[in-house]
Amino acid sequence: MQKQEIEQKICEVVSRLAQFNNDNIEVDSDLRDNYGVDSIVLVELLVELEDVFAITFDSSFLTYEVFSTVKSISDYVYGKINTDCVSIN
Amino acid sequence: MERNFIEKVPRYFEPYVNDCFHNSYGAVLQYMGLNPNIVLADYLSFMYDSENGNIGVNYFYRYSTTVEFKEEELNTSLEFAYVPATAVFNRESEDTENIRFPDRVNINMFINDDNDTAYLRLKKLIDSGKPVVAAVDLFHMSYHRAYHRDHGLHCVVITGYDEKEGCFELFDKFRLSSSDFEGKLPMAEVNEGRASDNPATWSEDMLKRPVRNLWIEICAHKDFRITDKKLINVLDESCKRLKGLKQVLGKDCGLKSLEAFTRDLLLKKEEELDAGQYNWFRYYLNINFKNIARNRKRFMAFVGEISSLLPEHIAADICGKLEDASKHWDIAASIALKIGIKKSPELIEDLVKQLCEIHELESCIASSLESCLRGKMPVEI
Repeated sequence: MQKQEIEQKICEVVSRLAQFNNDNIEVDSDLRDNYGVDSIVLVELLVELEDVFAITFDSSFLTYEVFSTVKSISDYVYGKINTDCVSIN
Repeated sequence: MERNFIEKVPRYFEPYVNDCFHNSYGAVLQYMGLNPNIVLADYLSFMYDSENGNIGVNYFYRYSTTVEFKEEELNTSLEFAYVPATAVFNRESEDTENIRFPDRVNINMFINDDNDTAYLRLKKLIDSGKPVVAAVDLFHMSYHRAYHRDHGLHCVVITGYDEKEGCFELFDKFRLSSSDFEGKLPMAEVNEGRASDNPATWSEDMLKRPVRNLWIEICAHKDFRITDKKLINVLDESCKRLKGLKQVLGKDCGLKSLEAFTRDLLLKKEEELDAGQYNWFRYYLNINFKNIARNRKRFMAFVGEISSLLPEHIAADICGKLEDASKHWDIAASIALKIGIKKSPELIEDLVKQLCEIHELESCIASSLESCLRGKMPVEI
């Protein structure tokens, strides 16, 4: 799966779960500040993405510090799908 | 028709404040010229009650159906503040200064079911230049995303009133862009929030937590001082609690309680969990692990404030470990939520891994505290 396709799918889910600005999801924008994705919604989002991409997020990465934008999530998903070996900086 | 507004009340917010009560207290304390990082510093600990699964830091987190807080529950965590039991406001309360302990900031909580009495007191406080921390039910606050959706007890800071316009001036600062507010709101709206029955919408038992016009008056004696001895006592008490050397509210606390909690969690992995238990993970543990994460951050801020009293490398070391511990509590909160959403007991193992990391970090913190306190109590400071 291409990165753009992954980003698009993630944007769709974010758009549905966002508290505001649902119609304008940008991949580099902070999820909490721009779309009201708080820590609870973030986990709901990641759980939903596990089903969409048939992957499992490593529990020790379940934090806003790691997944604060669509881009950071899509980088992880891309790595997980393509190599199943992801390093998070 | 009267009006009065208090200017320049700080919009205090830190991401590590305990809750909306602390957030509002922080604004009023700063207005009084006091440092919330010191006055609201709470001890570092952990509590677990194996009989009901409740956890906490210096008291147990649990749903309450009243705003009539008891004195013993309110005074287990703060070195610099005294909080008497919630009192029904009357003329006598009005005439006294409500300072029982001059060496502590006194945080007095009042209720009165008569809306006029509550309003007149608020007016009098504003007229005497004191911002008022008032509780409301968010369901009635039009600026909040919970408006006409969810009920919940919440605190705001009222800084003025205008009877001609029929409005209060207030602020509710949390840096959540959908719910921050500062400005004027109709008195009728705020009064509705203050007098609300505040039902728990999630409860099948029709539980309620009536707000009863709850408000908080914060005052400090003119001789109140932050002393080095009391600052060090926050560390000493935390060390004792972490090491399980004392009980709080008749219960053990500290690292041994964390071990007991971890053991009981592992047992749950072998059980068939029902919906109620999954909700415990999803709602109770998620929220309260986050509360504990914030306590670790607050303690870090406190250590930062008093770092000049400690050997430099020890203060930096403790702060680094607190930061890490807070991060692991936050991850534990996310895992608990995920267990609840996915109904995946196998994730309990991941949760336990986080708790083991936390145990190691907080054991080191206890040892560091012990070593820097050695010889410092009670005469060196």
